Amino acid sequence: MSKTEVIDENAMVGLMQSIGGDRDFLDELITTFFDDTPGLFSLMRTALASENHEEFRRAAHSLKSNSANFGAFALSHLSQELEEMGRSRLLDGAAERLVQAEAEYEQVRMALEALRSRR
Amino acid sequence: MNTNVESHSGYILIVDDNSLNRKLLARALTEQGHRFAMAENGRQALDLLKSEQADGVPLFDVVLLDILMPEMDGYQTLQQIKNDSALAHLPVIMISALDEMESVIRCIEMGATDYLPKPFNPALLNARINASLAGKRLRDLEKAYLQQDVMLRQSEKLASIGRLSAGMAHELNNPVSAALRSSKQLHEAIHNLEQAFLMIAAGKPSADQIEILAEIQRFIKEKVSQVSSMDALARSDLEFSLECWLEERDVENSWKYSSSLASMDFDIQQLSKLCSSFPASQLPALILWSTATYSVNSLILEIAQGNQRVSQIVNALKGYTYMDQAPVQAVNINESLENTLAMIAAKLNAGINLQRDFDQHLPRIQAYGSELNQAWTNILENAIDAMNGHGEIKITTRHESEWVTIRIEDDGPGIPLEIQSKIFDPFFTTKPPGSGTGLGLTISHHIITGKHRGEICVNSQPGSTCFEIKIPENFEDQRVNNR
Repeated sequence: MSKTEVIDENAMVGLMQSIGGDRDFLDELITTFFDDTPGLFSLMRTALASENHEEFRRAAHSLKSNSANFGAFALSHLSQELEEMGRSRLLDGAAERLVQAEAEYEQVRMALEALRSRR
Repeated sequence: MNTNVESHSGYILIVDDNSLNRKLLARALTEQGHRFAMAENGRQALDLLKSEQADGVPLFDVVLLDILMPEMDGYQTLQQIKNDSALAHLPVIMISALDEMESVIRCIEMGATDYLPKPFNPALLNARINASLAGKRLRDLEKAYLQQDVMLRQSEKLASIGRLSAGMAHELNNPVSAALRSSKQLHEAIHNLEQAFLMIAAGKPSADQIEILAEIQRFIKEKVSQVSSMDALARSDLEFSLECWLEERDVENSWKYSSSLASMDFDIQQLSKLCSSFPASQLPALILWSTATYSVNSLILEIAQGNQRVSQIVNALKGYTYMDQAPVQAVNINESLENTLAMIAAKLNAGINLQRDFDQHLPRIQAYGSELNQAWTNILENAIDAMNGHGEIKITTRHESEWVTIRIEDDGPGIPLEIQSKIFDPFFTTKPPGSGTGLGLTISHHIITGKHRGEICVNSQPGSTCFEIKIPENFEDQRVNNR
């Protein structure tokens, strides 16, 4: 996977296959992703401030798995690092990683929006 | 992707806090023809599992369970499912990312059936769900079979209780009615004794006369417990001569007393001796007194004997059912067989010649006592029925290197070769409809081989049928189990 590839095409093809090529359902999934992700980021920020490791880990875990579904592997890897920080209860550097993840999500969001409007 | 793998429809509970995951799983399950319900955490899942039940059986067939969830996580949920007897058998498939293998292993150890990696692969999901559904169907079938089996054995138990009760009623009836009759007669005998006493007392007997009465009293008491050695003809002669003697002396109801006097071996000589010591007017009182004394003592003995017999039967029943004893205890097979024989005595008495060849040094073995008795009862009743109630049954017990062998042989017509292999099959019966359950020998077989890890086989030809049963001294011993 190259650094510039925000969405892995093979993964996206795989997702399309697994939902029977149903574009409407893909749009629904993308919408759900857009609906849920800001909430996960704000959950992580609150959890970071209150040092709630469990909640931080869980939100990162969800973002990891959701982004992986769309082949957003860079975001998924960042989320995995965040999840690991929460699991090991070592949140040093988590704030910077969070900012990186939010920036990466912006890329992913634009790519997915483009995909959604391409029909 | 639409898979063409043949699948049976199931009702799946999706438990995941992630709405995207729920959507993807729901979609894939619907495509594969399953129905589903969704829960966002463990608590909601348990609520659904407990509310969606019919007759205590959950409606769900499979649970798809995420691990990391708020409120109640996958571990706690799995734990609660496994601790709930109504839910424990439900297949649980863990949903996990590939970097969570350790958690998955922990869940499998806790009783999860399988796992499904994320991102979801519909073909894999389908395979996992179908495998779980097949496994559950098998377990459900097994459960239904076991329940049916328990019910069948219960019904056979009831049938054998019915047969036992009939036998018991018969056995108990004789001693109980004898004791009842005797106690009524005792009332009259005591009245007679009291009358005689007053009459004798009115004659103011001397010390010598009282001594003679005491002697006769001892003589009568001795006679009560002895069986008369007199034959019927001699007795009839004695009764007749006594009656004549009494009539000559104008004793009223002489026929009534003569029989009693004969029963206690009273002869004319003793009677004359008694009379010579008392005035003639006292004769009726003396006769009444001696016969009443005899009656009172022999009736008391009859009542005691009747109760003794009832007590024996009750003890046999207690021994047979192992009432108020632990289900598994140290059993002496000879005693177990004797208790069973006592219970079916009525059937045996009719015309069976019973031979015992018991090893008197049998060790006590670990066994379900009452169940073994049921096994003996079924085999013996079968033999008696086959012999039409007439012939010889021989029971042998032996101790052979940590095993006890029991052989039950009869000289009945034998089991035809073509049905020998079926006699232990459920519902196989040669008896007319309604007279047998067709389960007797099946149950004996189950009790011996299933419950006691023993062996039972039959060897039959016309005129000789032998059931050979071998039971290990301790069926809980690993060596027996690993055979």
